[in-house]
Amino acid sequence: MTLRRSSALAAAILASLLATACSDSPGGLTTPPTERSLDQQVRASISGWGVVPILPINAQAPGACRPGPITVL
Amino acid sequence: LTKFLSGNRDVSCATCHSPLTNSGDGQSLAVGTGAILANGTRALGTGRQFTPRNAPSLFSAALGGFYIFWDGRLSEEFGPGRFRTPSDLSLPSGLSGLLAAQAMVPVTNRVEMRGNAGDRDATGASNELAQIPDGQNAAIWDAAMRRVLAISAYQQKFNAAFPGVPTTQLGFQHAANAIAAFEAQAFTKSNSAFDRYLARDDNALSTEAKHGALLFFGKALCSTCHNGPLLGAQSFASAGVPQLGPGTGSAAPLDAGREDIFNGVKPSTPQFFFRIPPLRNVELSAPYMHNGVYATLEAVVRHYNNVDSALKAFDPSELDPSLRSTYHGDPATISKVRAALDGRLQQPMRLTVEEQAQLVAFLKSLTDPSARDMKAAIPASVPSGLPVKD
Repeated sequence: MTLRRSSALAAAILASLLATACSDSPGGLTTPPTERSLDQQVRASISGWGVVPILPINAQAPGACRPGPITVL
Repeated sequence: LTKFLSGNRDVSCATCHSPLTNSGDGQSLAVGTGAILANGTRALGTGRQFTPRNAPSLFSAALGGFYIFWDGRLSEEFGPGRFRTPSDLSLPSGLSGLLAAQAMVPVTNRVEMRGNAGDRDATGASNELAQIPDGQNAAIWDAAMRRVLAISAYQQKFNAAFPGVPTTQLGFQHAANAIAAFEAQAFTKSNSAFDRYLARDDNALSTEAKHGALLFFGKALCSTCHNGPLLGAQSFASAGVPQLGPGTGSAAPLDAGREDIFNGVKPSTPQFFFRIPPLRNVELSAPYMHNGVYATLEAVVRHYNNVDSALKAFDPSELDPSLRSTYHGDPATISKVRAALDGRLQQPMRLTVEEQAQLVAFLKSLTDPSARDMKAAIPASVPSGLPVKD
């Protein structure tokens, strides 16, 4: 009986601690902001267009010929 | 940078793609061989004509776009090293890529580099490249390479660059590979504010540029054409650009663009289709469009904001005086261009003045600061001994 009451108390304390820890306002749990930041909006708008940062490229060796077939139409 | 490759020894690749003018020439339409030089500018020589299209910047040329030239007549759309060309252009093997393939072409063009039969070159000698009949490109390339290898300093440099190739086997494709290697090294500029923003630096763009990006990738529909790593160079569009210049192909004095190049192989290609250019460093590549008809980014954005209005209200007094008479503003031409207009541009965008400024701010964020001054790419001299900086 004592053990069961202690377990229930511990669970209640844990739940309370978790609720407090997850809250960023005194009133308890908050809803996520609905307004996205400008950067979030920009990054969302860019995604899907295949745009990527281009890293510096190595200089091409002039002797690095790559023979290939020619298609003439 | 040597003028030795042009028939009249008066034009180099850098004449139209100069490090001093951000890898272009700063002119709406290029002036090729036979120009008159006055006060640092090139004017048409007697009996010469403008090239039909703007000399494009080379900032993204080595970064893997599918198409090259404004009509995309050279492409790697079948895969790397598998060049697709029009029927009148047969390329040799051994080219390092699309940029090298492109370098094979201007030396064969009479307006750009080769000159006309009977021309005398800058030293008064006969222009042997111009004597070769049109279409005999292999003979032109052989003759151009003979010029190069006749200078021992060039021969030594080619032997060093291509150690596995005997001198007798060096062809113009090796010169083209070397030109492409230089262009890739000198003109590839990819450290823009936008690149840094893409690499997760939120502070790389101004607030105005971020709002411009929202428009570019959203309401203004720019990204429906200008997408991918280069923000373009992957397809074609008919953007309702005012017609300017001598024209080319079957539509001359108009320029029908891509429709003309495959001789009916692609009859479904609409008129006035031109390559959608890559936009990195676009701030530095004025004037804009396939014929350089707009001098500023602001004018380009105004055009796209209401193409119909821009096409009808174009003012040729904005052009260089030497080009004004080549503007085709007659109602029939405007009607043809309007009829071919891309569906996305049929309705006005209705961007406010503030939004247009935001778009321009975003476009300027695509500039690599090191692209603003490329004088260091110009050598003091070249082995041919011909002047480099005019």
